[in-house]
Amino acid sequence: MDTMLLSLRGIYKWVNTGINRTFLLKDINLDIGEGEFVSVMGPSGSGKSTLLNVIGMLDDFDEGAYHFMGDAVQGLREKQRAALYKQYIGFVFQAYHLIDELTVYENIETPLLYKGIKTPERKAMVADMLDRFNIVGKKDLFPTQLSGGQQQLVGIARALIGGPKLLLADEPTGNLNSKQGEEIMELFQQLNRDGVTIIQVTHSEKNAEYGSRIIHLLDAHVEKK
Amino acid sequence: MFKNYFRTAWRQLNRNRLFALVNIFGLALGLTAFWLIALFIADELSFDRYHEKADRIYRVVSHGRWQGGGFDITGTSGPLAQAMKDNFPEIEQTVRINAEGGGVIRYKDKKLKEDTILFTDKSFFHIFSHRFLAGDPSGALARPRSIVLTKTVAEKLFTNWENAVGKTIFFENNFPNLVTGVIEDVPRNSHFTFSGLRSFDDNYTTDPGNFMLYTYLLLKPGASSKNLISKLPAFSAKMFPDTTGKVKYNLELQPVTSIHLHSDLSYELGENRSVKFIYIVGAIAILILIIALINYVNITTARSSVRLKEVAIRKIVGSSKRHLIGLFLIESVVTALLASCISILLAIALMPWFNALNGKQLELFHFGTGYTILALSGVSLLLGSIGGLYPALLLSAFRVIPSLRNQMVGKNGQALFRKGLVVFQFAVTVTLIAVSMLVYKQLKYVLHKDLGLNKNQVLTFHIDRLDTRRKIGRLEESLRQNPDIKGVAVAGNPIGNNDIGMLDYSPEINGVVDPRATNLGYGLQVDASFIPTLEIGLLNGRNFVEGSATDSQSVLVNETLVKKAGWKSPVGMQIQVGGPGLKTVIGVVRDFHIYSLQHKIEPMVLLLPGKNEDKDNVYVRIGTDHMKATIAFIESTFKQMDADALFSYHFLDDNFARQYVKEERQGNVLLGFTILAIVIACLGLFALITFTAGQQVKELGIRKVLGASVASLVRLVSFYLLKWICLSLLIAFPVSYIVMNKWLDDFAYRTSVSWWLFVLAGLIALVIAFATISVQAVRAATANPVKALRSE
Repeated sequence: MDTMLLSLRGIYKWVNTGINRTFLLKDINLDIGEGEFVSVMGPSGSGKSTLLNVIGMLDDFDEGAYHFMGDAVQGLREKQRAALYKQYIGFVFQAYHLIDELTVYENIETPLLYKGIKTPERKAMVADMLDRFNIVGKKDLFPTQLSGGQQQLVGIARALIGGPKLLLADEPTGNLNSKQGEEIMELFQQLNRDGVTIIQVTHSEKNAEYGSRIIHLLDAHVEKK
Repeated sequence: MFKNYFRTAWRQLNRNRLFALVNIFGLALGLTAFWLIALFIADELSFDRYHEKADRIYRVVSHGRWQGGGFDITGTSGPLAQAMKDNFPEIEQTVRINAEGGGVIRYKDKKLKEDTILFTDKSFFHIFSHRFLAGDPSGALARPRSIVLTKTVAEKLFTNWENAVGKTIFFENNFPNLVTGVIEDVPRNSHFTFSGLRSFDDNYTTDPGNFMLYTYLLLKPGASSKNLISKLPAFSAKMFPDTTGKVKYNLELQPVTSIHLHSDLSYELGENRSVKFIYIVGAIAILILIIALINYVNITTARSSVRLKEVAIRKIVGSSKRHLIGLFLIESVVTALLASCISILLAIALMPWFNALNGKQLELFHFGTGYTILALSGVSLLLGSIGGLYPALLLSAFRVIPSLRNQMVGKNGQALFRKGLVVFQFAVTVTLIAVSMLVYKQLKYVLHKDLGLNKNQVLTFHIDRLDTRRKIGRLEESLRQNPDIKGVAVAGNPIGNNDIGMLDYSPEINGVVDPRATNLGYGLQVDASFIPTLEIGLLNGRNFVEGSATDSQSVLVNETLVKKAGWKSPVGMQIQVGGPGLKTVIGVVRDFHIYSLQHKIEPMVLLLPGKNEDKDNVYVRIGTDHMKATIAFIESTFKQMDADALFSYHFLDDNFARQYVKEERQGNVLLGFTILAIVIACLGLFALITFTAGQQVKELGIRKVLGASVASLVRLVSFYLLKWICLSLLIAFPVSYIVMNKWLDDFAYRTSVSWWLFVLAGLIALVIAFATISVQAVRAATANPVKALRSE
């Protein structure tokens, strides 16, 4: 393993329901290095998505230490966390989560707008991305006019446009047919070869195999291999 | 970035057309109402400000106080102006006005009756600014028997105003006046208006005790009015030495620009307005805007659940809270700007209607198109920011993960806030409904109240020429020949016009009349037929007898006077009226109104006219049949006495009704804006219920599958809002009660604030709200449940 990207030490997350405490994450210890392609597997409700959200800093945790590129995440304020994930992390969702009111082009462009990148540069970057994903012809369409696979391509393009170090994908092929799913997985593999660290949550053994490492979650903790 | 925001905003509006339309149209209505009312208020505030020296012009008015009474009148005595000028170095110039310059004007074979002609001093145009079309302002009124005409009158007489100057026109008895100038018509925003100005005779003045002239002052630039006011009490004490030791006179200075809204004295030169009404319509303008804004906030926050996902995604791809707030603010600003565009069209369409309601001639772009558009955009920007702020803060604060799953956090507080806003909207609407109903109830009351005399079917006209008055007996005789004429009476005053003078009287108390114990009351000169013709009740004693030698020393009095004097058996009592000499009370009449009902009934003495020349107002009671022929008969009979006369008559009930024009207009304006407020509030309610019903589709579907009836579902959907509307009634009732009583303060005789006003206003609001709600509720409840459930 080369440089360490992130490390989780003794991460706990829980919700209190009446007198009972339900654990969503229990004593998670995990190190992920730059350039890895990790697949997270486990039954429904085992905490896969929660783990991904914690890593992506979209969700809090209650106990433990999380270091991302040397920064202690638990010590950061919301704004600083947002700045951190904005710069280094890209997200891909099962339900694509594109903005319905925006065209393909605009959906991909949005992260750059929020980064304050100037128009000419932005145009070039979006054009590049459309090219790379072969969706130039679709750039003026709205998400609802696209197939699921195409929507997910746009979602990935949007996640990648900011040049993230880490790509977090929550069941990226869950809503796709097998052929579309395969294409997405091959794309992920290609991206990983280009240097992007990827963590994906998946139900499918086959998709998990694309990764270099598989983590099994059960009842909120990492199963010993 | 901004371009992007605008694009998104536009697409949002386009995609949710119903809500966008409700938002935009509601705001547009609100803006239009605000705009029209702003013009109305600006016009009210502009009164008399067009005079170049407006800030230095003051009117002097008189106040008198004694035990148990007093007067507050606009009139002042003749020598006052000169005395003030001599005494106070602060005063640059003074001018006096006598309102009695009107009459029939003759030029060659043309005759024109112009009542609003004033006598005034030559300094008039030095103080007041009027644009001269012809003639010289400084010299126009320098010589006696000069007259300056307004353009309209000049054109009526000479066809072209350019021909007017240098011509001689004649008033009654061939009294010549030389036209020395023509001015533009007096602007409508003046507290007094006139169609011509005649110069006083040289050294014209009145008795110091006669308060019939209007006095205006022009202070020197930089002179302090405060300083002058502080010296007035000492000055009035010297000017009006108090012989009886009982009456205290004082003078007051009114800035000319404040007269229209703040002065409510006896004998005002024009019809003033109460500043109270300005406050009321101002408040209505702001309330209507708030109602429209509430629609926006309500609909937007209600729909926030729909936009949760978008907010979450934007946050994940890197949007900061600031960016999100910007996004939602731009959306509301775009909405408001679109609303302002539509409001221009609405305002253009509604302007004639609004002018008809308020009796003004307001212009939409009175302040210039550029400024108006600028102000409109300014207001809509402000509205957009205010209306967008809460939804923006609310939406941008949602947490990412629950939002992605479409879970709303803190939904209850927000829904409560929304309901609170609906409660406020409806409280305002119900208040407006209740208050407008009261205004109309009061109008109905004053128009139909028993005045103590029968004002219906009474025709009245004025005899201008003294010659004709001398022959009045013959006129009466001839009129009585017609069987359709039920009675003819003459009096020295026109009743129902609110301009009858008051006089001093001293009643007999404990067997003596003390001439120093003066009271103020109305003196009405009437002949013996007056009481039967006008059907006034005689409570005690007897009426005058025509031709009786002794009755010139007899008077009738009204109930109020009897009560005030404390008389047990009034008939036979002595009373001193006006000048010296005692008169005997021969009868008591039931109280009757000679003024409109804003005014209280004062003590009144009825006297026979001293001479025929005082008999100038004729009252003729006519039957309901052949009215046209009867009126023609009266005219021809009158023309037989005076071939030159212009016969212009009024009906007595119309005279009284005219006194309520102001109130009627207030009612109309109020009603107009009440309807607007109802429309806007219902628009909001409609959108809100449409949205909630849409949100409840699944719940309704499940209930229906489980066997719920349509009626119970409609109840379910509509009840939750109706409950809150009922709460708004509870707030509206006390508020409207207070507003109603404040408005009624202006009237001496008031209708009651009945309970049914509140019930009816509440019912109206509930019915309208229920109608709005149930349309959507029924639609949601009758929808196919399978379809509803499949959508998940």
